[in-house]
Amino acid sequence: MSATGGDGRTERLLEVKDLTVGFPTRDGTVLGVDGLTLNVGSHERLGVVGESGSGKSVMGLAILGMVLPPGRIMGGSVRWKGENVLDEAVANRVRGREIAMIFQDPMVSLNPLKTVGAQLRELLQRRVGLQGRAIKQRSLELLDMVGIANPGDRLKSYAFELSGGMRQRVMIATALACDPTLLIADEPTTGLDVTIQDQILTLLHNLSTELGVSVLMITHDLGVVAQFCDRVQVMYAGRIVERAPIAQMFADPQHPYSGGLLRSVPRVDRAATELAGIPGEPLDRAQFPPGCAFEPRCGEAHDTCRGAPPPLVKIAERRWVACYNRPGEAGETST
Amino acid sequence: MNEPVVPLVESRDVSVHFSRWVGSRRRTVYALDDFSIAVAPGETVGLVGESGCGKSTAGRALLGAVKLTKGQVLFEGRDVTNLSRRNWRAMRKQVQMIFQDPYSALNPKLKVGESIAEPFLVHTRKRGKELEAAVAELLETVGMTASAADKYPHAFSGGQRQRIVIARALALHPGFVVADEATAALDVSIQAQIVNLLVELKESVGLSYLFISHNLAVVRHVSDRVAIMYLGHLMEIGSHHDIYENPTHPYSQALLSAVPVPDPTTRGDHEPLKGDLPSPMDPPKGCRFNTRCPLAVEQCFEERPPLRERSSGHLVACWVN
Amino acid sequence: MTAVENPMDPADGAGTGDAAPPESVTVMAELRSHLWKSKAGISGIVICSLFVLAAVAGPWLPLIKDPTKQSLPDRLTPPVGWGGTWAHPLGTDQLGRDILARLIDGARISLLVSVTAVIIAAVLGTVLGLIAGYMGGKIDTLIVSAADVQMAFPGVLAGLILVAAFGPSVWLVIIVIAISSWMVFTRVGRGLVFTLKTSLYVEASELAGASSRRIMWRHLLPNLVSSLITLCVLELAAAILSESAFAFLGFGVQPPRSSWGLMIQQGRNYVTGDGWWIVTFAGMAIAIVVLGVNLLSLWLQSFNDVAEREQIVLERPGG
Repeated sequence: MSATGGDGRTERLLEVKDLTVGFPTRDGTVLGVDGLTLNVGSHERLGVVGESGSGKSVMGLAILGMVLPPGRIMGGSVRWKGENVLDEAVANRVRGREIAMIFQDPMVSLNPLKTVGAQLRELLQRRVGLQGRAIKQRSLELLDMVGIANPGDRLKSYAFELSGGMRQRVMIATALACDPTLLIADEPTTGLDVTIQDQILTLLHNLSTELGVSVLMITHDLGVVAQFCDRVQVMYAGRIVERAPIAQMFADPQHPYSGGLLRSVPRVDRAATELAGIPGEPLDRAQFPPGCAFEPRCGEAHDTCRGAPPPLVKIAERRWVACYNRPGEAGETST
Repeated sequence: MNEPVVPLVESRDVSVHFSRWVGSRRRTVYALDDFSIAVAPGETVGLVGESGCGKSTAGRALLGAVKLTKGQVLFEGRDVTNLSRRNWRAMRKQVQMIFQDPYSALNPKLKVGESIAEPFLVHTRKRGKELEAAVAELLETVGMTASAADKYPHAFSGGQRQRIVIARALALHPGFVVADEATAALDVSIQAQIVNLLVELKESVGLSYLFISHNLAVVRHVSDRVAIMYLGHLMEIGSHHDIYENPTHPYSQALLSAVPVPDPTTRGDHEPLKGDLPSPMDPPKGCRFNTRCPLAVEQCFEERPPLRERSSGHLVACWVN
Repeated sequence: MTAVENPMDPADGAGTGDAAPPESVTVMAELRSHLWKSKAGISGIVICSLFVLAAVAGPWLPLIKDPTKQSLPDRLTPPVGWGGTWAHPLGTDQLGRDILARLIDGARISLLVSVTAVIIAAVLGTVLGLIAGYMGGKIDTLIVSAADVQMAFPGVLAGLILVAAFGPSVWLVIIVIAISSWMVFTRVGRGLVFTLKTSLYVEASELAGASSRRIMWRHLLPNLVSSLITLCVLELAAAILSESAFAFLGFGVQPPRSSWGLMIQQGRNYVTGDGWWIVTFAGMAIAIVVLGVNLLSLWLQSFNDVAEREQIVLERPGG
């Protein structure tokens, strides 16, 4: 895997601003994603890391205008090359073509009743407009591209006949069928065995480099982020708490939550040191304090933190933090 | 472990095969083959492997919870393989288990206190106030308040439930606890809390663990010795240092290099291990790793390599390395 | 068929994730608020309450006559609206007995028979289902075969044989209905146990050395109850119908006591001419009560599903 890339001068593809997704519950509307801002540039691998309930998966779907009912997008904008993706017509054109998505469980996106070949054929006919022999040829090419041996035989297989890693490869092939510019990958290797995860991550890395596809990697695994991404945003309770280039995030995390997270992960390449952990439990969405959502678990909290959620401010070049203890450069709030 | 200490728990050449219907055919699953391991008092042995490697079966075999096809299990030097039901019940006090999924490990219809009290009700005469006090003490041991006893499991988060499960496992002061992927379902910040709790309890209560996990980093953090399994076979076993600093089996090496390290400065080119895990219903002949091994020679396809000692306590099952 | 077209990923839903759900909402409050939103539930509850009220308090209600008092001069009085008077709002039967009073008396029998029969069937069936499901092996085969045989054996025939042997009585009907419906509970209970017994809390309990009896009683049964209660209500409807059928055939309650089935049997000679109301009102009583009970069970079922669905959303780890 290559070294840290992404120099910030790339073309902006995806611009998400103040995206807010709400879910009505009996305790009132709960925000799954709260005023989220995010940009993905061309040829960039952006990681979004968070624990369960951080809203990272909701965010992934909301970017494509898809929120599971009863949830709904309550505000903000999502622009793809300047166009409003929250507009249904634009979304239909972009979704699955320019922006493709892969999930943790391939079985949700593969049809159990159709062979791999039939699914690819349908896709290539409808979406790409290929005909006749070209379809077969492209299908074989796609399967070959994702490292499936004997692609000819695999075209005749059903999803349930494939191993977990193989299914994930097929899903990646279907996502790549329309030559996307951005791939949103939601926990694509969670639940896979470590040697298979390694294969899939290497595959995704190589594909994104060779095809020039940007990747938005949504994961809970800091190891995946460290090895795969150029830049990372940490989410807690529906908000971005820190955004930084990958090397800086891991060398010098600024938000107390990012730091706590890093000190919680045991490392396979180092002898045991004390795991710090983060005290307390993640809060239920309905019980969020009015201030910083991390405040009840934070060792550095003071009165200001209990007032209003801290804004995401720029503290250095390409570094943003939402914490009252890390005052930013004057006047620079989230872009 | 070379000291002449009698191991707390030991398995000798244990095999577990069971049959399962696949379509209209009955097939044998070779879950575990000739598995020998010993856990000394106060020791934590990590058992690592990918899905289908038999690590959970191995853990259950040591607890007498699965039927052995072959081999023996010894507890404090005593053969407990064919114990009568009554004697097993007495054994039960000494060995316990912590599960992966804290959501299904607690009966949703029982109050937390009732769940924790069960081992006392089964094995002791503690009742009433005395029982309540014992439950409260256990809850405090695992870092919860005694008032948790009156609530139902749904009121707790995953990490809190795992604490409750641990409290239940500790009720009768077992010497040996099998932790089967005990932190796999938890978020990292909570995983760290639970790992720390398990390490603390080992010291304060005096426990031995068989720590089963797919997570090599967590195993490195908690274990004194580590065993690596692949498709029902033990591939390598050695001290913490042997396995992590000097992995010898090609599978151990591949497994360790496949783990994504949460540090971007460790990025480097490595060749991922090729191929998929074979099915335990149809394991390859010879060394079970031969279908994926980059070093495999002819002998590896013919004959199963025995576990041979490379240095004191470091055993490797490989013809090549 | 791209990945993108299938936003079916249920992951982190409302984002509750690992956090503990609030405890403020009790099951009862939930049940009530769910009931108010369900027309079927409300109708079912109203019908069933009226039925139970009539059965329990009927004889003490004001203006209700003695259901056994005959009055030949008043025989076959039509109901109000068809030339009858408010003295007999639903008319009288062939012996001049008040139809309304007899319907209410019949409700007693219906309730007694159906509830008792279902309780016996549920207890017996559930216990056998628990044992079959948890123990497995030969015991399971034995119980399942018995259930299969019972399933194939017509209840009416069983009734006929028992009546021939012991003579007709209400208790006989109860026993016949119970033995022709226990296997429903056995089958459902066994199926549920098959899934439940693989849960980790059962394994934990086994590892703790708990006895089979303890596991069945403390761990399995409480988790079956909500599903089985729904089944009980459903079986209640079937039992009310069976009771009427047996009464119609003359196996059950004997005159002068009344039962809806008996009323239909006795009134059927008059159905085309001068006494259509006897059969009509008894038939309507059966239909309405069975409908009400079914609505109630339907609602209970939907409530159970919703509760379970919510549980899954709230408790799903990861995401």
